[in-house]
Amino acid sequence: MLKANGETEQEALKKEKRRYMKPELKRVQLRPEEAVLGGCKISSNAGPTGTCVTCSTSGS
Amino acid sequence: METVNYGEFSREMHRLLMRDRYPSNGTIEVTRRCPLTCAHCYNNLPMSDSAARRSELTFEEHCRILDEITEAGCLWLLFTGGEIFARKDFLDIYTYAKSKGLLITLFTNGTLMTPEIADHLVEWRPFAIEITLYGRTRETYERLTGIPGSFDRCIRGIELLLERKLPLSLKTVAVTINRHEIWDMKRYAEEELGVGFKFDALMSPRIDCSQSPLAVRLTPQESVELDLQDPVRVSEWKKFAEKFGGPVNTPEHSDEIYHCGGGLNSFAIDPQGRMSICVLSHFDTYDLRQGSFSEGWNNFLNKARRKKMTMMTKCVKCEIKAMCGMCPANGELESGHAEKPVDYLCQVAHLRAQSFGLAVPPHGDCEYCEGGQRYDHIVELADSLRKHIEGGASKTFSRYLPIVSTEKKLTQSSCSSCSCH
Repeated sequence: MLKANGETEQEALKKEKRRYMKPELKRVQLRPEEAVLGGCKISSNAGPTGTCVTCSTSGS
Repeated sequence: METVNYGEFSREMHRLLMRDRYPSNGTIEVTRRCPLTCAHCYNNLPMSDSAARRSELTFEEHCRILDEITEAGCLWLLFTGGEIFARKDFLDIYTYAKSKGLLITLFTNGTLMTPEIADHLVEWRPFAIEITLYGRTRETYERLTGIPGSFDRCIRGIELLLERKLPLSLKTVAVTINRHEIWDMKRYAEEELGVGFKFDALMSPRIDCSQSPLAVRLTPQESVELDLQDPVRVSEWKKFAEKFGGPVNTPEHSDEIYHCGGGLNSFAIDPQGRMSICVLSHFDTYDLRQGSFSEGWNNFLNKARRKKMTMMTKCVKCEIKAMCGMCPANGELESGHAEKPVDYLCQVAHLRAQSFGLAVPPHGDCEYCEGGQRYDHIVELADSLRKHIEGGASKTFSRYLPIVSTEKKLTQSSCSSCSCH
């Protein structure tokens, strides 16, 4: 549905201020075997932008 | 306090970081000097190279760079070489980086490890340590490293780290000298030591343009044979090809030559403080001795990362690029141009796809695709490999049907990476 200013309801909702969420501390156990696969054999580059597979390096 | 597992944390971090260009992953080569003289290495220099030592960043320069990269948002840092412990002050640099809160991975050959260094690493625990094992036997290891006594020193280094329960894994590069011991190395790591192991046959010419490492490179069929010998590896390749199949960067999607994370969420810094997209790519470098990290990252590297394609090669529309090691850096080093296909990598990718039974849609003028001049050869090789494996050659080796002779003496050739000959 269009509002008077020409915005759809969805667009107006998107513009609503995000609600404050209290920061929360979480503990992360550092386990390199769970790392995202390294993207490149010769570096620690990591993450889905990489294109490497079974070889690779430590991910991050 | 709630505890989350690392895999979950890492995936979420990468998902968030991918939205923007962000220097979350760094690699610092602290030195190129190394006590080993491995035949396949792409960048090692002798320990006695005093000019190389004098040119390296000082401890103070490292601290300044570490301040700047953490300020810019770097979280994961890899220290590599050369051999990192070839620098007498490496632990000082490392400890300073740890104090900045970075998650640090160390690549080392382990031969310079001492009880004192290992104790220090217990106190300042790295995220991960990877030691490259060059052979399972002393003879093979030292044939590749060229240094008598290096095998025992490496094994001692591994023991020192494991005794202290440090986060160690082993890896190797499969070359003609050690390929017969790959599975022994894997068994040693996983079954005897209880640590992870990985290997790869992908290697490149040296960054100083010498093609000498290619003299020990496996032939394409030897490389693919290693894949086929391990059903888990084949399965992982197939899953990967399914997930990342299709052209990586057709002009309709992107006209940039890079499609990796280099310059987008990662960077590399060489021993002299030159920042580049990755440790192999030296065409575009920014001198951090002359400017700040943020200037180099935001302007120089951003521009380098957005370089446009200048030619339509068979790689552009290739749908098996996920099976291939081709990238601009490998193109620069081996073909003399970032976009020019590397024939060896093309052969490996097509042979791998053919051997795994994966379709290879036409992608331009490619001699290894159906209708191409060398297609029949690839099919024949794939059939031979499959029969060989089915005939019980799992995890054993025999050298046969070479496509390219890697035994010939290879000498220097021209390279776009540094414009020398």
